[in-house]
Amino acid sequence: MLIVLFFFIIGAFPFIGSEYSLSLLILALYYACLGQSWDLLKGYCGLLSLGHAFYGGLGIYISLGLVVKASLPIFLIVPLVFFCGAILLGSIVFISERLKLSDIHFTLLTLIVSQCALILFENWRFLGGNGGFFLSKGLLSIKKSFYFFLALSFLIFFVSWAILKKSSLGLLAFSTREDPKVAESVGVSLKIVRTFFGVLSGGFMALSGAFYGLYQGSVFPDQAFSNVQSLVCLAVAIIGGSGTLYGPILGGFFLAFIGEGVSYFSGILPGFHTFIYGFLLLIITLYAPQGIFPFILKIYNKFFRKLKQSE
Amino acid sequence: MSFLTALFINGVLTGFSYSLGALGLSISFGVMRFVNFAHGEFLTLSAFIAAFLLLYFPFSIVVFLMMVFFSLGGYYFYLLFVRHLLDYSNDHQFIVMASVGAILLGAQHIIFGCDVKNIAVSWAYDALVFESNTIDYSKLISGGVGLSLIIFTHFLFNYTLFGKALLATAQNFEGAELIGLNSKRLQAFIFSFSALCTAIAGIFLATFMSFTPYTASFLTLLSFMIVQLSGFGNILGVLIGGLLVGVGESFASLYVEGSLKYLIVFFLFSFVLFLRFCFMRK
Repeated sequence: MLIVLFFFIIGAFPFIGSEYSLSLLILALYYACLGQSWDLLKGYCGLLSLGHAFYGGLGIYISLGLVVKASLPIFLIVPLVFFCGAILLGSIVFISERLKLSDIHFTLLTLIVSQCALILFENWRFLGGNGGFFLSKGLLSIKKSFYFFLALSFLIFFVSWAILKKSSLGLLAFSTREDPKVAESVGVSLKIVRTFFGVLSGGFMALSGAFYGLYQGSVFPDQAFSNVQSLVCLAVAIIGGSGTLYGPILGGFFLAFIGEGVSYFSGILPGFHTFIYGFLLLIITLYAPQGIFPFILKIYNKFFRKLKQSE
Repeated sequence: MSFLTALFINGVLTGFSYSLGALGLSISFGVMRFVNFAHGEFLTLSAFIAAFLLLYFPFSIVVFLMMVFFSLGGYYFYLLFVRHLLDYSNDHQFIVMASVGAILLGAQHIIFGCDVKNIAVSWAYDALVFESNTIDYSKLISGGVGLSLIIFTHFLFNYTLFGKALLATAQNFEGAELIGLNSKRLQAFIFSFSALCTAIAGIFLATFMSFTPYTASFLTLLSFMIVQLSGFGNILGVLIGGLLVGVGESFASLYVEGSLKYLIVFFLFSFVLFLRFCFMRK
């Protein structure tokens, strides 16, 4: 019930809210998307990726590049972007499972890929190089529609996560997270299950990146592929609650609002964002590894139980 | 001396300096199995503090002060923080240290700013000249320091009784305790030694490389790759990884410009690691 109301508010927001609050909301939605797709690997399959910003950045670059250089229509770009992200992350997960890389090596592999992408896009003059890449002016007028695209894809993915989590495939993934060796010995194919989730995660990441990039109208390589952006993906999911359905959404809204509040200071103190994100993540990982979602759930339950008792 | 020989020697010296950068990680990650993901941030931290201290003190005193700071800091950082993390899984350590790294990165950005800096030493612009080719003194000195410190560490860990005690505590904490070693103290010593190596590495890398707080992620990745290639606990192997990076980088700069040479280095490294996984599986 609450979640339907939430989506109703998100859908109706552009007609009632101001420009500023809309940009804040789309940032929160984008963060929630990042957190959810990161959580598909860590929270479901137990694979820690520290270079997840790469797929979002790739989505931004592909969509902007195709719109500006090839002037393709949007409905062609969407499947293409999804396909690119899915193929890349899927093949990385597949290779690491094929070679039976340990957890440290998988994490380093994702990190290497994102660092390579950073160097590549910084030097690629065709896509603007170090100076960033911009959308032409004509498209900026319809940027509100990309908000709806992002919200719609968020809704679709949210529903499919909810179904997936209850399905047997979700349970298979959870079994690989809890104990890969036991899962393998009872006949779960780690390769297939994890690659499937890798494909979904990469595709969703690239897609949300594409809509956010089209809304923003600009992209810079050192922002799109930086380690700080990867850390944001991680922080959103872990602060919200890894492995839960609502956790990353909660974390996304939380971090976006915190970041907005902090940016009041960051005019004076650049780098304050990174400091705060790291600090929050450290506190949460050390003292509440389950994230804030179970905590809020507890309060919610207590509150409603009291209401029921008073009735 | 021909051009290619000079290029090769420069590459070797740069490589030894990179190995020096990875040495601290090789001790904490290879020997203690502690995934220190904030390694690059610690390197830039030492470079920033050294650059600040150089305004007031001569170079040798700065190096001495930094060694004292970092080894004491490492000792207490272990006792207060790292000790509790050692029981966690690798992933958990990654996340905790990534957030520590983010805190350090933000703090360095706030305190020291985002300007490109380097450590100005008196020999920064001198070079050995052979006909038309040159070898920088700064690279020569950093490479020499790296080589000697790594060989010293290798002998310390493998040929002295004290070093063997250190290795024993790192491999089996309780077992070492049973045969009468003070495991906690010795592990704290390993960590403080790794911090000391990190301090020296940060200073000497910064004498020929300019840096900002955001160089840290690159240094972290490079150090991790070097340690991966050399294998766990193999201190001398760090030299080989460093050589691969240094020589690869200097020959790649013949063909491509700017930071693209690091792309070639990363590809080369991934390829070698791939071969190592295919044929040298433990």
